[in-house]
Amino acid sequence: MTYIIKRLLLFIPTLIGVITLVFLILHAIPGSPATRVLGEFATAESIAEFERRLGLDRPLIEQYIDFVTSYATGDFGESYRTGEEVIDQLALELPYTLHLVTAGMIIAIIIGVGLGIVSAIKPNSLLDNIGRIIALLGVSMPVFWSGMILIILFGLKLGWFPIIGAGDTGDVPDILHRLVLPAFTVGFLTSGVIMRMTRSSMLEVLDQDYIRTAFSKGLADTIVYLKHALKNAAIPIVTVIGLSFGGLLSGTVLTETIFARHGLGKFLVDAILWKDYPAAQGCIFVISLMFLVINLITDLIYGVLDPRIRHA
Amino acid sequence: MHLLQIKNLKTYFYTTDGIGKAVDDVTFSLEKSETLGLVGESGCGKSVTALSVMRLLKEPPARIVNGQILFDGTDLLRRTKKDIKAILGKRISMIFQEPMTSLNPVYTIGDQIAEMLSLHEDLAKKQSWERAVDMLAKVQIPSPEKRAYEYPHQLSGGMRQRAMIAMALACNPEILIADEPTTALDVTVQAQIIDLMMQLKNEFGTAILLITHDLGVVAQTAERIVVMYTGKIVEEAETLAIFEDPKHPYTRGLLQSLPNIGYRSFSRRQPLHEIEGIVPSLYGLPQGCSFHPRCPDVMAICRQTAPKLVDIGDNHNVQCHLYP
Amino acid sequence: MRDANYQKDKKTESGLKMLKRSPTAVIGLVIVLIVIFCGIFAPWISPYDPIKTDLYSRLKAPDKDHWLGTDKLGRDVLSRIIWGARVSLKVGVISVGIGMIIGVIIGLIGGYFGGITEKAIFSLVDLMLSVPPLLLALAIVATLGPGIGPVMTAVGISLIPIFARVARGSVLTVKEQNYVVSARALGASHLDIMLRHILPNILTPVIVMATLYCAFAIIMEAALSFLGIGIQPPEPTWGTILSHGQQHMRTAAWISTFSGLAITITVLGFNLLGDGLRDLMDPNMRHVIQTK
Repeated sequence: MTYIIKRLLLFIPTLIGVITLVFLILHAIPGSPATRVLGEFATAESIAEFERRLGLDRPLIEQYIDFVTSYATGDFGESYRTGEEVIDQLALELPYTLHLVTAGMIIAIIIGVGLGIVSAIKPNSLLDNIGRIIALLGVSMPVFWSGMILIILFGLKLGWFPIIGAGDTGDVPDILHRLVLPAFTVGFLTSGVIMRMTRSSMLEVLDQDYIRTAFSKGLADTIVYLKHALKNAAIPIVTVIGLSFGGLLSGTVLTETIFARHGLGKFLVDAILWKDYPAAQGCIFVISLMFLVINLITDLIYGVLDPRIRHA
Repeated sequence: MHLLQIKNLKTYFYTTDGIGKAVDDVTFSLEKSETLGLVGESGCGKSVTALSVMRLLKEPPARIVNGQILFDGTDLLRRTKKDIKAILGKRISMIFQEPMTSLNPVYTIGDQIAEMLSLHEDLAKKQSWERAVDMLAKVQIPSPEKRAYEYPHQLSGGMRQRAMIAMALACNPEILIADEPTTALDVTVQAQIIDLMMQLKNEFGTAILLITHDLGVVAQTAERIVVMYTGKIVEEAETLAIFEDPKHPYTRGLLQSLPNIGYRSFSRRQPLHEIEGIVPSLYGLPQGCSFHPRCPDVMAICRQTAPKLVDIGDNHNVQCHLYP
Repeated sequence: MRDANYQKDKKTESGLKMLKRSPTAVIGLVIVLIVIFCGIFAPWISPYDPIKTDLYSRLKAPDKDHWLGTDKLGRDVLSRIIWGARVSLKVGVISVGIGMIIGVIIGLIGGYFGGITEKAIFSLVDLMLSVPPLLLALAIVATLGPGIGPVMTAVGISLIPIFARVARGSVLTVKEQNYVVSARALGASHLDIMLRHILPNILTPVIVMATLYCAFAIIMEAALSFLGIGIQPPEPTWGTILSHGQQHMRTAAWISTFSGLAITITVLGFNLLGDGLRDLMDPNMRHVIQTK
């Protein structure tokens, strides 16, 4: 219990840190956002007007405190482009990204953990080598290319899946149908990392004495591998799954662009292209927050997996 | 009929360094309710023999190239994997040297014992748990109902080995293979564990194959002793014969390196002795008798030809050129 | 001092031999060398001018004149890909250089001094790691504007925390070694110890990481350019060729297929080389190789 509380308390400074980072990236760099937004040829009056309207003429520290407090209360400011509340726009985009991230991670875990276990059971076998090649391709193929290959093959040539858009809300079969290709795109990217870690972690565990004990009990091989070995190998695997969410979220940004799907990634790229800084800041914050929450969850899972951590 | 008979067993390791003959033509048998000591320094093939019986070797690099392991009238080496799995844990079970690492750290000891019971005894979850707690009581773990919920890291080394014994004996097997069960434990705890094993053996009528490098351990427990060196049996006899009248120079060396057996060594003031040299690597065994570089009684013939195992009477077998 | 040199010599001496034992590392090395060759000799080996348009041969499928086809402005895809190797390598090497130099300095200082210095530096490092890497680079490019300079800066900055961590990890083990302890006892200055005794001994893991993260940097550059906020057309980079090809997926799939293939093969090369080096440098692995 104290483990959970300790971990939760650590979350708060990290959160403030990320808000600071988001602030710094776009405010502390020389040159006012006004010139970047309005262009080199903007008049001094229009720049002054822009800065006054957004409070950019105030001292940096004042802006910072203001920024942190408004972020803490869920106020991400207004979009330069549309004038709408950024948080409302993000709320609209979030579900699409969550669908993609969840589906992608499920695929990555199934492929990665599955191949990793199979590889570790018979190291250097044909299956192991195939698995390792797939993993290597997974980490070497850029998502925006593998996504395009999937589009060309399964969308254009075979016509099995739609290649553009995320579907309308409510139409579940359509949403799922449109999710298949993008989810495989991001899933494949992440599966390579997970596979490698599963393999090495399982190989180490399979060498342990308690695995020999489990076999000596007469347990079926699958029980030994899945019940006795996997749970012990799980901590590094869970760690890498948590960390690979960073890559997965990066991949999501690109995948949403390739498949022209709604979502935070596409929203962020558009915001940057339009120099819509409040929207970009809000979006970076929300995606980073997702990453932080996921890492928090993985830390909590450790306690469930390993009694030694729970009792420490 | 013997309960377990190992005939001409050869288990080799195939590596890039060459072929390591870890078990090389070993034959011995274990009778019902008997305790048999399998003795030798580490690296002599004792554990590999046991693991061959249990089929727990990593293949590759290991391979059983020849021999029979007769149990219950049939050759275990010819049975299907499924048949073997039905025998392991249920009729033949094993405990290991390292109680620290031989129990799964992420499951409670109650779970690990109950798993054995629900697998082989077809018991419901609750019943297997109750039987598991009973077993913990049998191995004299205090307050077993509570201890069953604890994880291995919460127990001391001796307690863990007791839990291992409880697990191994849970299904009342005919054979218990104990591979250096006390080596990793404190001296005081060692005696307790050996006493416990003997007590349970008498209660359940289990035959025990006790593997150890320590002749002191088998002196009190085993009825017969098999001494192994570099994958071969060098001497086999009743325990008393081994201690009173050891034939093979290796067995004598092992006995002389024992601190005290009864009062004899004290009264005669024999200095403690170590066998000179080390066990040679399996991948570079000496020509002839593999013990000859360390042997105090080495003869010319020992360097050229390997001796054969001969019966010198009273079921006393020895493999040495001293006994032609 | 002698100790440190002795260790270094041993490593370089067996370097070639070790490479022999890892065929995958050799494959990786060959791929990387081919890409470097393309990058250096692009002006001489590419069959066409990469930015010269030829409106009479637009979107032509691969044939004997244009091995990998042409794009919508009639530019030769093969030539563009060969020239693209230049940009990719430049970005890869320079941004890894930025990340490595700053990261190693930070890691060295943090790991060596420990205590409050380490805490302060590494809470910042951890903070940077809590933003997914592409987002960090995106945000930096967003403020600096597009172009090769900002891309290299952005990718380089996002690599700093990664190198800082690796460097610190190695420093912590090296710090306790006898030759460092004795140098300290003999009164060597902090700077002297860091530069002469610790730095040479943490270079191995850092170089392995640098190889692996070259792959990462190349993918990042391609991603940023692909999104239209990195290096801008008409400069031939793999990311822009690919993004251009995306618009013609239906009619001219070869544009994106081959440019993506170029990225994948290059990244694969760096990954194989880096993995191979890592396995060979890992003392545990080395032991396994020798005993088996």
